[in-house]
Amino acid sequence: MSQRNQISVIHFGLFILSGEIGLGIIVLPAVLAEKVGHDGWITVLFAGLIGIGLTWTVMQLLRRYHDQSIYEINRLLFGKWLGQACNYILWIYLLGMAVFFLRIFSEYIQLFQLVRIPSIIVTILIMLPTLFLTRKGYWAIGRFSYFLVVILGAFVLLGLKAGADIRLSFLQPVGSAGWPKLLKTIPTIFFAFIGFELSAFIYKDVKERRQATFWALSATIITLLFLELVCLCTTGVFGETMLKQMVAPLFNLSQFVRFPFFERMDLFFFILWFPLLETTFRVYFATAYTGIYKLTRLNDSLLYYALFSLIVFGLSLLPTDLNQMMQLGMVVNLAGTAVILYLVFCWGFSLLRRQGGTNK
Amino acid sequence: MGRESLEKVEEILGHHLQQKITQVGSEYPRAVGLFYLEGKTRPGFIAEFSCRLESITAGWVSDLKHLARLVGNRSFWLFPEFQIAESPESAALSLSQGKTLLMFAGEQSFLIFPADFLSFFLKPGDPSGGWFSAGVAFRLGAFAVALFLPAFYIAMISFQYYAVSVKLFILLAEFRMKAPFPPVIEVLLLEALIEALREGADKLASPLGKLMGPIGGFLAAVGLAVSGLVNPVASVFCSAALMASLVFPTRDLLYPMRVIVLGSIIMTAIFGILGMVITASLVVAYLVSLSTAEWPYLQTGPGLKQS
Repeated sequence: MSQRNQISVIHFGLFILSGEIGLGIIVLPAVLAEKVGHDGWITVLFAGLIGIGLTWTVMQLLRRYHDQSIYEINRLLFGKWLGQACNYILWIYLLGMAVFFLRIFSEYIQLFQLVRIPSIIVTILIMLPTLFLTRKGYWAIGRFSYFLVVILGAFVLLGLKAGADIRLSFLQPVGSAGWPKLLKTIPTIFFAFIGFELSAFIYKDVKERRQATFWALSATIITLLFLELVCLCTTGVFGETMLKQMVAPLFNLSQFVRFPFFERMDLFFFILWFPLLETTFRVYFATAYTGIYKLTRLNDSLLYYALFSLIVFGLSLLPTDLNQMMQLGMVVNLAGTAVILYLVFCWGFSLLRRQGGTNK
Repeated sequence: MGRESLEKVEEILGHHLQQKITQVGSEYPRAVGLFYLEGKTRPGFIAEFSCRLESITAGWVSDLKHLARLVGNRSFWLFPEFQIAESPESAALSLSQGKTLLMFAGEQSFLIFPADFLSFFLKPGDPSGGWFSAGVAFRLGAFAVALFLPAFYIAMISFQYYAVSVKLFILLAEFRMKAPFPPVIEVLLLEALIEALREGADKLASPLGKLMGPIGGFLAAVGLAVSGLVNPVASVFCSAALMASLVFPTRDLLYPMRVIVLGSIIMTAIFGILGMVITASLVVAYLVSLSTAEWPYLQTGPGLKQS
């Protein structure tokens, strides 16, 4: 399994991009319209800059322990018992993220395309490609993630097509929400950049790590640019009042854009949307699964894999409706931010202890 | 060995080929040459492949396809793992990418190992190393059309009918009203007929005879539409998929194509467009996970690393 989990730095970058890009593109413009009106893009810019800074900090931590993942770093920094306890908490976070993404994506897909098919069936369908790829290791997931570039390219084209319908008056006056409100909203929407913390879990599996920082930063910058495009297009086309009523504005944007002969272009974007969302679930699922045998003495086996998959599937069925999922989303946002801050704390702590290098 | 072919390959490459001669077949041994370029092919790869050749226990190896089955991966592979080439140009290109050639003594055909997915979309006349040329892109597009057009028809008719314009929708509805079978049965009927004719035409030896399959398929589709057994639009979609499958440079992809088409039809009939997307995702996931001796199946050019 360890050989199959070896990935290149490009795959590493795509892995982080996959983790970051998923949820933000669905709900972010609507959340921003609710909080700061048409100035959402300014908040995204600030949150993105903070995200870039935090990505750099996490990578500095990993560079100090250049052949270790956060699991080993925790043991080095806090000792065997406390370090292992931190590791289990981090693993629970990964599991929670995998469960959350699986359920929220199945809810959205059901809501927009498959109203008649039960949620449980949609969840199983979403899991199928992920179950196959995770069993093959990070290597296969990284190679599959190349398609993310194509998918993002298609959404950029959608944004450009919608660009003709943008009303600048919907985006003006700039900064009318006021700086205190704009800055106060940053923590609320930081979930859109959560995903780069995965670097701490998979860093050990990256070959030729010298360029890892560059690729991690590139992933966060691409996420920032993409979210800016989505926010500007959706706000410019729909306006903040209409945006507040929408559940998934990017999807509404694909319904809004018209092409000759095709009444609803959203169907074609749904075809692209599905693998995009699934990729976000997949990276958390795979990282949580590999975490099991990195943390314990268990070996990778089909039985454990099946059990783990069943647990994720079962847990994803616990929330009863979309409202509960939204509440869970807030918890996930807080947990993700906490994990990132914890990684920053580890970096600061390692500087104080003047500790670094390899695990003896 | 097919000395003339080998000499031409060496002439194209400007290098002397390394070779290993092995006997295969315990009862009726035949000499097989394993050819590669020193420095291009990973040494461990040659050792592993020689080992596979020596471990053949069959009494007699009839031809290159039989040999390919014997030395291929033991696990199930949907897509072809080997490629049979006639032209020295194809062989030279493969060698320059670090691949190996297998050749029976006295024969002119080569078995290229390992094959990668995109090599099945290259023609000898394509520009050298032109993986992303317009021709290859067109053939890849045709492959996607051949795989998913029948399923797309089912999704459009049965589930996502709102995606087409009103004028087109009215036209489709008029045809559907007269059709006696549900869309999935229509498509399965057409596909079964087309594939049966294609399979039957393989028995005809001449190249013209092989064309009889697709032509017969078109005629059968038209016949079914005229008789009213299937919707004419279904007939158009399946004929377009058949036409797209004729674009493939080799017949090696026909078997995986049949399996995927059937899978996508069934999945789409149950889950609509999501079924089609799931099938496409699984196909891509399967393709990216394949590798032979650390050579990724979806690798596009020279190189030996998993990257």
